[in-house]
Amino acid sequence: MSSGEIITTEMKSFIGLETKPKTYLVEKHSVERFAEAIEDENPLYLDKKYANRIKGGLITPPTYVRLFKANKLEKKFPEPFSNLVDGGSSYSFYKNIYVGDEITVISKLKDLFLKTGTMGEMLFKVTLISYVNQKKELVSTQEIVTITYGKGEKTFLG
Amino acid sequence: MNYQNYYEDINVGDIIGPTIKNIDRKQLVMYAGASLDFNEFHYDDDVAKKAGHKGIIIHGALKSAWLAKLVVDFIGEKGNLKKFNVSYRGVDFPYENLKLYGKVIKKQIINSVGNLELEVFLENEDGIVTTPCFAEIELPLKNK
Repeated sequence: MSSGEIITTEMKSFIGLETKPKTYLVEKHSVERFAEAIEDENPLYLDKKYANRIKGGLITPPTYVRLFKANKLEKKFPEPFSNLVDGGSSYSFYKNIYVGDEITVISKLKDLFLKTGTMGEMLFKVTLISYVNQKKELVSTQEIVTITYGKGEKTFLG
Repeated sequence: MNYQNYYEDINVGDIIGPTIKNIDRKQLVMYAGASLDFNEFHYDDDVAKKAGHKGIIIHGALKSAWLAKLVVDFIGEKGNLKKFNVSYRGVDFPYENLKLYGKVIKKQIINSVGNLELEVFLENEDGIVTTPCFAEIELPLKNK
């Protein structure tokens, strides 16, 4: 199969489509539970007095943004493969996220390309997720690369 | 946290860590609950084995959280994490000694701020880096 046959015009039409915004309230207990799960006792996430003095309030660990899941697009991507790998993430951090903030998340497909590897043809999707606080400040972005390949029984790595 | 690293004290080639992580199933379940990632590969051996793994695998995002913590602890309370890129090259398993460490690869002052670039790694028991990362950070200058 050539690349042209796998990435269809319909697939390409998904590039740039944004999900409907979804807003989350950053809750103290959720941050505490997350810090405990990642074994991170940084007092900036847990000790209000200390965090107030240093950062002006309790903040969240960098990868806490993973909890702010974006809405799904209304139409479904015509996925040609059945196996999925999370290739990784690139985070940019612009402002602190504080306990009590309201974070709005929007996701969009930024790029789509094929590569050939040991698994055969692999479809790479680059998704850009942006996180904006209640003051309309862009606090963080996350770019995720997901890779799909092969047919048959579903597997997942990541 | 009482210590603070300053830009002037850090040199290219300096090593961060290492620290060893060896976690159990309970920690994965805790992370599943805390991150709302309930993918069964992370707590059900049968599902993980069907997918070709020897057993349950660690969430990629949990490994990134550990590696980001290594960087944030190095930065201290007066510095900032600007960028953090993580690649998942291989899966990792609970009950194994995983080594986390980093290295300073570049430093320069931009607009009176100390900027550093770091490479950070998670290495499995066989000495294979499964999870390489790159970070850009800011450290305070001593005379500021």
